[in-house]
Amino acid sequence: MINNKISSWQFSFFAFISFISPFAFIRNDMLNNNIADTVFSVFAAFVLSVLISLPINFINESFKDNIAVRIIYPVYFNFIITSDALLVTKMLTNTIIPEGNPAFISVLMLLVALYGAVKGVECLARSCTAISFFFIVGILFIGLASFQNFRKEEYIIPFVNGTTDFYNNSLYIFSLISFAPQFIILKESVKEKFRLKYILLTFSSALIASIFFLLVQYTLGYYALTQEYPFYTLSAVTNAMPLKRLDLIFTFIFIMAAILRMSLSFIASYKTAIRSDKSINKFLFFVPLIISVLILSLNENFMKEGDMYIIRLISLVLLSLVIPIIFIVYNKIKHRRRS
Amino acid sequence: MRKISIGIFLMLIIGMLTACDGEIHDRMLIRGIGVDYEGGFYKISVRCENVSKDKEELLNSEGETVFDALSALSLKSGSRQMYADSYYIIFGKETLKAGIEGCLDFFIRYFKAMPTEQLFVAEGRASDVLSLKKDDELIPSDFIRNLKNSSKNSGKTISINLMELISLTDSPAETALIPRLSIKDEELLLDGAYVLKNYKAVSLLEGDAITGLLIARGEIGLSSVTAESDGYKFTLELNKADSKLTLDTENNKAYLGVKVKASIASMSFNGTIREEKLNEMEKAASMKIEEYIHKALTSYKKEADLLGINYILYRENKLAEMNLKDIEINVKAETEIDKTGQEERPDTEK
Repeated sequence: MINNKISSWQFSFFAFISFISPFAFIRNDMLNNNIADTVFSVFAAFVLSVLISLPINFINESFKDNIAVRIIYPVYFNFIITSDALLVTKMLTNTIIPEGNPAFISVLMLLVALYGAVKGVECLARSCTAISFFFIVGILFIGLASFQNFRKEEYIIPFVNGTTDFYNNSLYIFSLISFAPQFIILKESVKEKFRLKYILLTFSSALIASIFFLLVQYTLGYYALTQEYPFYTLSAVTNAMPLKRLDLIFTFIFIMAAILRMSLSFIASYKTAIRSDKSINKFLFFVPLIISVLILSLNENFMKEGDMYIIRLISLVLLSLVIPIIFIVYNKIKHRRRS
Repeated sequence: MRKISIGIFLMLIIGMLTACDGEIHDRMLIRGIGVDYEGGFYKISVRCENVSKDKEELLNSEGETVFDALSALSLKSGSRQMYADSYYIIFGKETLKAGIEGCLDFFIRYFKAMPTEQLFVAEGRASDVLSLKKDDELIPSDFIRNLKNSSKNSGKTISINLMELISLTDSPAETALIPRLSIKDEELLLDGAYVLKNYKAVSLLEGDAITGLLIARGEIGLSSVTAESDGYKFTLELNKADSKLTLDTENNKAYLGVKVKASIASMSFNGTIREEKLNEMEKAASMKIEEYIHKALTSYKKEADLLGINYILYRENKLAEMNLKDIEINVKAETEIDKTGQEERPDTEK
C-alpha cells in the first residue's frame, strides 16, 4: 500500500461520494411509507453519522496500538465491504442485469476496488475528483430531466402518521451511509485542516439525497411504493431525448461511487491492521474477504436486507458506543490500580 | 511480453463489445398491447414492429395471466419480446369492469416495461381497436399514442399513464380516470373517460362533465364554454382555472371555489361589448361552469373521489372525521373575461 498524503478538498470529496453512494441501494420495503418523513430522516442520519465520529476518534487516538482495536476495526471494515458489494450486486441483479451471476459481479467489483486500494489513497483521491465530476453532472442531468414528470399535487405533509416512520427511516439510512470509522483512519492521510470543507460536502450530499427523495415523491407519487429501488425507478421513468431511459447513467455513476467507497474501506482496514506489524501481506490480507463474498454470493438467499441492516446498525452501535464505554471503564480501572 | 499481454487483453475486450445479445430483427419490438378478459382468460393483442418490412403487425395470444399470454407470443414468432418501445396499453371494456389490478402487476414488476405507457379503455374489445385498418393498413401505433394529446387540445377528455394510474389509485383517493377509445365511422376517437375506484370501473364521464371536472381540478387544457346571455350565444376560451377546495369537517360540507380567466372566442352579436354586457356574460359563463362541475360530480357514484377529498383529509390527518358519501359539495365559480381589445369595436348595437 502506498502511503500518500491528500488535500483537505480531496478528503472532503471522499466524504461526499461515500455518503451519497448508498442511497442508490435504498429499498422501499426497508423504508416506511411516508417519503416526506424520509427527507428529514436523511438529515438526521447525516447528523448521527457525524456525531459518532467523536467516540470513534477518541478510541483511535487513545488506544491506537491496542490489539483489540487492531482486530475489531478490520473485521468491521471487511464486513462493510462485503455488505456494500452485496447491496450493489442485489440492485444490479434486481434491475438491469437479472440474468447476471451474483458471485461474478460481487467478486469483479471487489477486485476493481482492491486494485484502487493497492494504488494508494492519493491515487484514489485523484479518481474521486473525476468520479465526483461525473457524479454531479449525471445526477444534475437526471434531476433536471425528471422535472418533466413533476406533479405538484403529489405533495404530502410530513409526519402525517406520527414520528415512528421518521425514526425508523433515520436508523435505516444511518446504517447504510455511515462511514465515520473509515474516515477516522483515513484522516491521518490529510495534510491540512479539513473540518469545514468536510462538513460542507457532507451537508451537500445530504441535500442532494433529500432533493432526490422529494423528486421521487413529486414525480412517482404512490407508484414509488410499488418499486424496489425508488432512486433507480426515478431514473428509469425519466427520458431525455434521444435517451429513453436514464437508468444506465444512474447505474454507472452510482457503481463508480460504490467501488470508490469499497476501496476506501479496504485502505482503512489495511491501515488499521498493519499499525504495529508491517509484515502483513496486503494480498493475503484480502483473500478471506473475497472468499467470504464468494460464499455469500453463491448462496441462493445470499443476502437478506433486513439482516444486513440490523447487523450494520448493531456494529455501529458497538463501535461508537459500547466499545468506547468499555475502553473508558477499562482505562479508569487501570489508573485506579496504579494509583 | 507486456505488449503481447495487452494485445490479447484488448482482443478479448473488443470481442465483448457486441452491445446487444441478438440482432434487432430477432426481437419482437412491441409498440402497443391490448388486454381483453374473457371466460377466465386474458386475450392479448400485440402490435409489434416488423423491422424488415418497416410496418406493424398484429399478434394474438391468450393465457391465464397477462404474463402467460405475453410469453406465449414467442411461440408464434420465435422472438424475444422487447417492451422498452411500447407506447400504450388498451383494456377492453369488460376487462375494466372485472378490474384491471390483476393484469397491471406484470407491468409494475417487469423492470423493462415502461411505466410511462399511456392507458386507454376500448368501448368494445381492445383487439377490435388494434385490428382497425385504414386504407388496408393497420392504424399506426404512433397515431394511437398521440391521441393522448386530445386532453391538452380539447378539454373533453383526459390522459393517464401507468405510473399515474397506480399513484392515484394507491393514494387515499383510490380514484383515477382512464380515457375511452371508441370506433366511429371506421375512425378512432377519444370520447369520454371511465371513473375507476380501486382499479374497477364505477361510471363514465362524457363531454361537458369532463370539462367541468378539469376546471374543478384547475387542469384545463384548451377548454371552451358556450353560454347564453340576453338571447345571445357566446363561446369563451378558457385560459386559466384556479380551484380551491375547503372542507368543513364539522358540518360535512366541502366548498369548491373556482376562478376562471377566459377570452371571447366567438359570439352571435356584433358590436361593442359594454361593461354591463361583459358582467352579464361573466355571470352566465360562471353559471354554465357550475353546471358542468355539478354534471361531473353527480354523474359518478359517490364512493369515487374525483376531487381528491380523501387525499386532502389524509394530508390533514382527518381521514376518520369525514365520510365521502355524506359530504355535500357546494360549488361557486367566478369568471373573468379578458377585456383587452373589446373597447375598440364599432358600436353597432341597437
